[in-house]
This record gives sequence, C-alpha cells and structure tokens, in this order.
Amino acid sequence: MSWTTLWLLRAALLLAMLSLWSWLAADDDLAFFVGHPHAVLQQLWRWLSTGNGSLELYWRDHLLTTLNFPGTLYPHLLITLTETILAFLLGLASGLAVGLWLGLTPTLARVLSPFIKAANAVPRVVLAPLLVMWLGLGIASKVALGITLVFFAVFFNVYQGVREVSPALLANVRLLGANRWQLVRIVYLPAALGWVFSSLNTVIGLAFVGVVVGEYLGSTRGIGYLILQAEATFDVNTVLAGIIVLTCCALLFDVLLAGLERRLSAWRQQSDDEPGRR
Amino acid sequence: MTSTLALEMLDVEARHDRLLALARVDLTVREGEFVCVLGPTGCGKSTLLDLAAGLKPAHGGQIRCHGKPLLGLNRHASYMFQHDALLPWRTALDNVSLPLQLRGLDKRHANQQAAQWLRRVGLTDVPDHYPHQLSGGMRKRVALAQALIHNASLLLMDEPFAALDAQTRQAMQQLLLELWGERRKSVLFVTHDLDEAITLADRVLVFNAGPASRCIEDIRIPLPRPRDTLSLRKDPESAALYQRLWHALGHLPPTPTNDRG
Ligand SMILES: Nc1ncnc2c1ncn2[C@@H]1O[C@H](COP(=O)(O)OP(=O)(O)OP(=O)(O)O)[C@@H](O)[C@H]1O
Ligand SMILES: [Mg+2]
Repeated sequence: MSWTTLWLLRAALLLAMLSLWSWLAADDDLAFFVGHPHAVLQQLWRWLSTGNGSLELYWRDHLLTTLNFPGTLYPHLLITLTETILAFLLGLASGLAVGLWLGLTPTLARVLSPFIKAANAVPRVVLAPLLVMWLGLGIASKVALGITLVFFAVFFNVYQGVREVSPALLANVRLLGANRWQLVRIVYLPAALGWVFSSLNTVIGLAFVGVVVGEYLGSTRGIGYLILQAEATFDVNTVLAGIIVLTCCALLFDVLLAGLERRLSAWRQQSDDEPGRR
Repeated sequence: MTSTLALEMLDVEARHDRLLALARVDLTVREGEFVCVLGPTGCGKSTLLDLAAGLKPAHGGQIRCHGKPLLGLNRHASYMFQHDALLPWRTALDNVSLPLQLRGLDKRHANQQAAQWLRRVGLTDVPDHYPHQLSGGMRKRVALAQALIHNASLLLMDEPFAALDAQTRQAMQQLLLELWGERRKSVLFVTHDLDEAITLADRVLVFNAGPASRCIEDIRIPLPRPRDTLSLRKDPESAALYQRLWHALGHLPPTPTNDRG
C-alpha cells in the first residue's frame, strides 16, 4: 500500500467516525450523552482563547510571579504536564535506584519481597484520598500518586533486569579486572537501563494516568479538575474536550519519547531482524 | 614447588550439583607453554577452564597459579569463553577496549589500541557495530581481540576458532602463534580439531568421556616451529601424531585409505 493511499484511507475513516458522531448527535436525547462535535470544538476554542488564564507561582507562601495566558486551558494544562513530568522523573529515578539496590543485595530482597508484593497489590487509586490528606490539594499529592504507579513498574523491571544478567557476562568483566563499582557501572546499570529505555513510553503513560486520576479525585487545578467540574454540571461536551486535550498530550509524549527510545536502544536487536540470531 | 609452572592442578575434582564432571585431574602448564585439551563433548573441558580461571571452586585437590594457591578469581588469566560474553550494549570497539578502560587508561588511547587489535584479527569495517550486528565468527574474533588486549600471562581459550571458516581459522591460528612467540604467554587451549591441536600445541592432553572424566594421555608434539597447517598435512610425523591422538580419543585407527596420506 502506498503512503498516499494509506493516509487517504485513514482520513476517510476519521471522516466516517465524525459523521457517525454528528448523525447520533442530531438527536437531542442522544446528544445529552454523546455530545456534539461542533460543541466540543467550540469548547476547545473557548478554553484556548477566553477566560481567566493567569497562573500564580508560589514558593511556600511567597508569590514568585504571575503568568498570564490568553485562555483558561493553559494554566491547567501546564499544571498537569508539570505533575506528569515530575512523577515520571522521580518515579523513574527512585525505581531505578531501589531496583538496582535490591537486585544487588539478594538477602535484603528476599526479606522485603512479600512487603513489596503487598505494596504493589494495593489498588493505587484508593491511595488518592490518603495522599490528599497528607500532601494537600496541590500538585504534591498528584505527583505522589503518579510516582506510586511509575515506581513499581520501573522497580520490578530493573530488579528483574539485574537478576537476569548473564553469568558469563559478569564472569568475563570480572576477569578483565572490574571491581564491584565498575561491575555496576559497566554491566548492571546498562542491563537495567535496557528495559527502562525501551519502555519510556509506557512509563510516562503511567505517570499521566496517575496524575490525571489524582486531579479528578480531588484538586483545584489541572485538566482532571476541569473534567470533574464539567461532569458535575452534566456538560458532556466539556468532558469530551478535556479528554481530547489529554489524548493530544499523550500522543505528544509518545512522539517525543519514541525518538528518544530509538536512539538510546540502538544496541538492541530490532525485532524484525532475521530470527536465526540470538 | 617449582615456580616455572604457570598453572598446576593436583588431584582436582569438579562437580555440577550432583554430577561429578572431573575426577582426579592432574595437569601442568609451564611458563610459555602451549597446551591443548582434547576430549569428547561434555567431558568437562569448559569446566576445567572455569576452574583455572577461578570462576568455579574445585571440590577437591589443589590449583596453583605461578606457584601460589588459587583463591577466588585468577587475576593472571585471560579467558575466552566458549559462548561469547561480549557486552551487547557496547560496540565492537568498546568491547575490545574494555580491559584497558578498566585499568584506567583514558578512552581515546584505549580505543586507539583497540582499533589496532581489531585490525589484527581482521575486522576493519565493524568497529561501530553492536554484537547483534556481527556474525558468529566476527563475534569470536572480537572476543579474541578482547582476550589478547588484556595481556594476561595465562591465556585460557575454549574452542575459540570453532565457528570460523578454514581460511580465517588458519589466519587466526597463525596470529595466535605469532603473538605467543612474541610474548611467551602460557596457553591452555580447548579444541575438538586434531589438526588444530597438532599445529598449535607443545603438548596435548586427552580427556576421556565424562562423567568423572580425567586426563588419560599427555602427548608431546615435538614438531619444529614455526608450523603451518598446510605443510603439516603432508608431514608423516604429524600424520603419526594424528593417529595417536585419534586412538587416544577412543576411535579406531584411521584406515590406510584415509585421505590424510
Ligand atoms: N552449569 C551446569 N550445571 C549443571 N551441569 C553442568 C553445568 N555446566 C556443565 N555441566 C555438565 O558438566 C559436564 C561437563 O560440561 P562442560 O561444559 O565442561 O563440557 P565440555 O567438555 O566443555 O563440552 P563441549 O566440548 O561440548 O563444550 C557435562 O555433562 C554438563 O552436562
Ligand atoms: Mg565446552
């Protein structure tokens, strides 16, 4: 299939879905549930161009500066993105550190293993009220919720990666004269990062979900908060507009990280290589 | 104890869980000596090298390296594994320069030397390839370059040339002999190829089939050096050695019509 046909087919499919949506929305009763494409677009436009777009930045109780944007959406979006990136980075770093540490100290890992399993089994969403009580309605509680999701995913995979390093590789590098710290730097860390680098995409997805759910369950700002407000007034068009904004962000992360992943995982065998090789 | 022994095993025993792989192995490698190990598959040759490298503890007996009992890793050994142990996230060049970098040499100089070694093993085009992009034989040669650049006094090699075509194998054998002649390393070399053993070794040790395998023959190869495989094929003395080794391995002696004239 040529490139043009492919994109034509995709455009046709999109058009068909939008038509179906408009057709359903023509019925007023149904429109209450499914919204209307036109109204959703209008809402998006209102968010981008009108309303109070000021964002006050505080450090503790001290007002640092006030940013002014042309629409309501920007401060909320900025908050959500900041939370996501913080949860991503902090969860990644802590998962990596703890995964390496436990991977390299099997006794400790054996002692802790039931506790870790239990902690991971806790449905993360129910932590949200607890985190809000501890950390308040601000961004800290959202970041914390995102971290709980990211941390365990990264931790388990790094731990596994460290435990599964081939003994022959270790033996070779040790014989070539590596001390323990060099062994970590040259063998364990790259082995662990291998998984991390090839799944940055999944990981930021987790951070995003954690943050938005956190906002939705209790907050004063963020895209999740906008959706929550709209839901309270049964404004389905605004809810849909919020979902579209979130989807666009997720796609943006996807594109950015896919490139990074490819670059960082160059040493990996591509899956479409001939299968005869290891 | 004589100090001219690079490696000495006395009454050594090795187990894998309950399997007794090696029993009562006695073996010596003198300084600067090239010793080949022959034996049926699964008899414990790789296990023997693991012991010599200090990767596996012996369950009985004693191992000495340069006269001192071997405790833990053997710091005098450079080990080329049977299955390659290259780091998949490092390029060929970075894998070869690893031993130098571990020794604290700066990256630029280490890479310069590594590039020279890659050239010596006949790999000029692939310094930036990752192991998964190399053929099996190329990976073997990268591993060879890595083992040689490490420059330890005892070289342990486990079927290093098994995956190479005849021409490349011969070139690698010549390279190994050259280096060995220059630097007088002690070599313990595992192979299944009788010709290879005859071309390379001062002595060939023949192991019997496992379990509880041990060294059953210790055959000196008195052929003059430098040797080269092609002319050895026509040499009657080498043909006689070939027969002896074949015999020792438990096969019937080759019939007179055998193409090794
Ligand atoms: N990690 C292990 N665990 C259990 N048994 C093992 C292990 N490694 C080797 N063995 C057993 O020890 C014996 C000797 O194995 P080894 O790899 O030393 O043989 P080898 O002489 O090198 O064979 P080959 O010529 O095929 O390489 C074999 O019977 C094998 O099954
Ligand atoms: Mg073997």
